[in-house]
Amino acid sequence: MLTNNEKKENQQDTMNRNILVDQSTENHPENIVICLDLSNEMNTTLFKSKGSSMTAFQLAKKMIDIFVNSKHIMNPLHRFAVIGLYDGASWMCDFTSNPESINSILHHVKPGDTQEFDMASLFQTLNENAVVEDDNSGSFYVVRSILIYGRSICKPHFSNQEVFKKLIRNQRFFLDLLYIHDIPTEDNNCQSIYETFCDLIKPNSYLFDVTKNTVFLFDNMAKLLAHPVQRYLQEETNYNLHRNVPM
Amino acid sequence: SLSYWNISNANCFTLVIKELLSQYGLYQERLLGNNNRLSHECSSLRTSKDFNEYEILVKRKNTNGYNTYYEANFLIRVNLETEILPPQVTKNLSKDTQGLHAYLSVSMLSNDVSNVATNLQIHPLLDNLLGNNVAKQCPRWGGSNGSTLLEYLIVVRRYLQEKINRIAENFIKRKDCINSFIHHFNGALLEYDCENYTCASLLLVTNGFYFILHVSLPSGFPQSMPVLVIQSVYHRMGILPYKETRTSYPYSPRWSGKEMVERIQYVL
Repeated sequence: MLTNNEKKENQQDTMNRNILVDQSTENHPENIVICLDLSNEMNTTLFKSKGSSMTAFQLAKKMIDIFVNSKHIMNPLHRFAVIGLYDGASWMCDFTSNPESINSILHHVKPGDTQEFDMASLFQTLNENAVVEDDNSGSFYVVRSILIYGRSICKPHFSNQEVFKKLIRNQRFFLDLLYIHDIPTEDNNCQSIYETFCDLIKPNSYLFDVTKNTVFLFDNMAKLLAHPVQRYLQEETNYNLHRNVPM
Repeated sequence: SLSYWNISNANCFTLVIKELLSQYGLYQERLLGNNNRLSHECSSLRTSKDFNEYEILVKRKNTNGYNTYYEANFLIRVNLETEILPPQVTKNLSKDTQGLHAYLSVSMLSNDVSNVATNLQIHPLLDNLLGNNVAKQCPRWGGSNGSTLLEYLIVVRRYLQEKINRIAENFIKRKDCINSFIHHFNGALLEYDCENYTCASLLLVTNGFYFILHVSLPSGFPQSMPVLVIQSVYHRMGILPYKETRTSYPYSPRWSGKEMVERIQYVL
């Protein structure tokens, strides 16, 4: 696992988070944008399991399918959209609460050649299509973007951070990341890419990285099921079934 | 009153209308005369603390053109204590103040004591909250439910109030149960219903195997046990995630939320 710069929540962020959580006597369905890397590396990174192997892209489709169906079970009002990531970001489908629609979209997209990845394009696309309301709008939905990035060589860059900074300040916008990569070596940029993501996220974000381990991939995608308004900070999570029970 | 018309008072016309309605009601009551059953019913209502908001319409009738009798039609407001209901439950009702009480319409004849028709009228939002068909299941006039208007109104109010109290109690129990899951499995919460506390989902791991536990509280909870659905994060069955449902496990509605959760963990 890559090393993580310790995320310290500053006082203002704590207050902002607590305000949104404390105000939650009201359910806030999510508008979840799956931002899926469609670079060729997603087709070349292989995960081996029980004698067979699957590409990161094949596994990503499967885990996203389980993800959206699981969210739908928890609250049928959750909605989903897809952004494909090539050199920039491309809005693939509008929000829908039907998991089958997402499955259908993913069935038709294909990874392709990429030379770079401009993060500004991603946040611009989110800003234009996800309609993130400001704090006082009384908006019913919160917007969560889950970035699934699968490149070990290509380091994401920002041509312009203006839209990103505006979105990241919004209390109703959440950003999570799942980074799929090769084993870090001197020949790739996994560590620096991971550090780039560490600088990007908010304290209430979830950031996971996975190296060619199918089970860990699905485990971490399951952790991303947590509702951003109700969940614990990542370092506070504890999924252990076995708790002390005086019987 | 028109005699005290005040051009600078924006509420003056409203006050005149209210006075007119009040005088009309008294006029209707005077039609009934004195010292008869219907006039005593009116008097009881007017002097009661709890049911003195009502309207009355009296119709004079006769049989075969000789025997005159009266039909008194009452529309009586039945106030209910809804402060005990949590805000999440009443948030839709609060947009419409007519939803927090009911009306009982009663039709009585002066010449036939037993001929009393009643109809409970509840705002649809309140009816939905209390359970559909509340009006149809309202206690009927007569017998142990009382033979005077005041006695019957007390029975009706008690009937509605008990339903409201039960909703409040069940909400508290649901909240206790869901919060117990969240606190016991501290750090494992995925999502829960923070308005009505009907469900919660947790991510749990045992021996490296992650699974989702969906907890649903049926409408009959706590008499009906929680429904547990265990879902895989790895596998699908067809197009849906693989899951199994547990509806049979040691359970008692008398257990606290904490004890329920501890015993469910033991089963898991």
